[in-house]
Amino acid sequence: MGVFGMPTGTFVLIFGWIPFWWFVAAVSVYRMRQNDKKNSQGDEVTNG
Amino acid sequence: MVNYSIVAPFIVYLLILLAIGIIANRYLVDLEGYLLGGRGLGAGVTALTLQSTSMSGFMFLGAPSMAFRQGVWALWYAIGDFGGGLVNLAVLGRGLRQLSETFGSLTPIEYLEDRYPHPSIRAVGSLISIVFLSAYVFAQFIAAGKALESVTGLPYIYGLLLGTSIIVLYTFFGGYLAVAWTDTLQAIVMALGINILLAAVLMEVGGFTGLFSSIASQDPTYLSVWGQGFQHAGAFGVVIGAVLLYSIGYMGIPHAVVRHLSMEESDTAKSAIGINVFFNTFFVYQPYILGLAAIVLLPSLNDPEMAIPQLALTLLPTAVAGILLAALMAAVMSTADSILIMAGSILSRDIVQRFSSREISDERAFLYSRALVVGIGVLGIVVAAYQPPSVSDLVIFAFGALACAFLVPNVAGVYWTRANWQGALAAMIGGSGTNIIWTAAGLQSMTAVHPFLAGIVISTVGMVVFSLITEPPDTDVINAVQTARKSVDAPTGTVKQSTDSLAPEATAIATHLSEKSLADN
Repeated sequence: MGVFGMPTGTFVLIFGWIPFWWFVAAVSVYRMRQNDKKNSQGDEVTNG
Repeated sequence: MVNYSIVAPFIVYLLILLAIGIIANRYLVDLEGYLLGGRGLGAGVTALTLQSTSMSGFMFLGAPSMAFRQGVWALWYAIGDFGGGLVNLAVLGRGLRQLSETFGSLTPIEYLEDRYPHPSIRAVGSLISIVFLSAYVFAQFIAAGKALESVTGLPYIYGLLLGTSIIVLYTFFGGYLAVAWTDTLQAIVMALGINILLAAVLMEVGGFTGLFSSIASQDPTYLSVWGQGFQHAGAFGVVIGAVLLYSIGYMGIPHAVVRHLSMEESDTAKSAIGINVFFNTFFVYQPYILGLAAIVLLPSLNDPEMAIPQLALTLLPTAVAGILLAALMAAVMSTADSILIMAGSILSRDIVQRFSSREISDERAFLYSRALVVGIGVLGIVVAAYQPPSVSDLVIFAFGALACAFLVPNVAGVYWTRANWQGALAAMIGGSGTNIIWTAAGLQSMTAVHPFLAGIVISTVGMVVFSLITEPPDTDVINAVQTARKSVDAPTGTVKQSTDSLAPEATAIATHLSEKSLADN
């Protein structure tokens, strides 16, 4: 069994990192957004 | 025999780059405005500039040659490279920006001395940077020589002389002014060119299934994650090092750190992360797959580093091949000029001006900087002509040594208050020294541990042990680190100057100009 003529395990091990890095990017952007939201709320309080 | 149908589009493309540079400079009115404010470069330009600077001749020559020799195993490097920019942004970006703002430091070396206040940090850091940035540039010279050899049909030595001359002259006469604009075009051309070539290759071999089946029929171990002939079987230390090299290594590379830090907070950074992974999806794995395709299509290839140029010349229409090879040359130039000027800036700012007992004028400092550019050019020609190492070996060595020296001090500087200058010095010397010895003595094959992994471990141990057995840093430094960590505001003030300038060379010139205008007033 294989994917595109490559052993399945090898394929997943090598190309599975592409969705992994996309996932990390999505989490990073989400966390940055959350941070920004928190910061802007803090600013509003600070600025009265 | 010179093939003019390839040479013509090659030259036209380089002339277009030059024209864009000239037009961009006129459009931007004056240098000071360009560097100090009103840049207004969006996330797209920012991210693509970062990419084209990071993706050098290694991606066109080194990566495919590794895949040609080692098979699928080489893709461990691609895995790390895919996430390198992202990791740099997520782990180091914000903290280092805030800390450098607090200290008012403008360059990575200056930051290190501010965070670890001792002259030896700047001296050793500058020395390591100049030596290994030079080695990094040598690899670009070799790549340029080989690109010109394949385009013009001239012998390698003439290609090398011509390529190095173009790079040094381009740098010397201020090619950096248009870097942000030309790099964007180059990144797009590089990605388009490489994917057009990949499409042509896949049509030729019958898609991915045809490609991998053909490789397996030649030697199934090419498709093993342990390398052709299982030469790295069970060597987890080598695999981990190969993945970590480009995934975390960027956090120690001076010109990458500066470029990542120079993005405007925070919408630009968020968009840049998206563009980064999008671009990497279409660029990072492709050169390695082309190297695998060369196993099938060019089995008798003498020099594996010529896999992409040879595939282009074999499968693409000559005009398209010419543009692809021009993109290769442009990729080399966009990396080389940044590094050359960064090395020159380090010599002038971080060594000559910092340590000279006399007052050194900016004009004289720039003279030193440019002399170093020419010096590196001449030395590079000698090294590359006498016994040219492979581009991949040289890039991995230079990148590894820089990363081993600076990654731990950079990260510890942000996350570990106790880290002091003794620890940082031990980390820099221990890390880069281990990488050099490991590579030179061929310890990877004896220990099954990658030189980068060995260097990072020693660097970390050095940082922890020497920091703990010596006095903690001054309270000023500890307070600055704690303040920076608590800070939630977007960087302003001093870092605004460095964030406005995309490139390290621009930062150096910005400082030069602001000091000059202060002196004039």
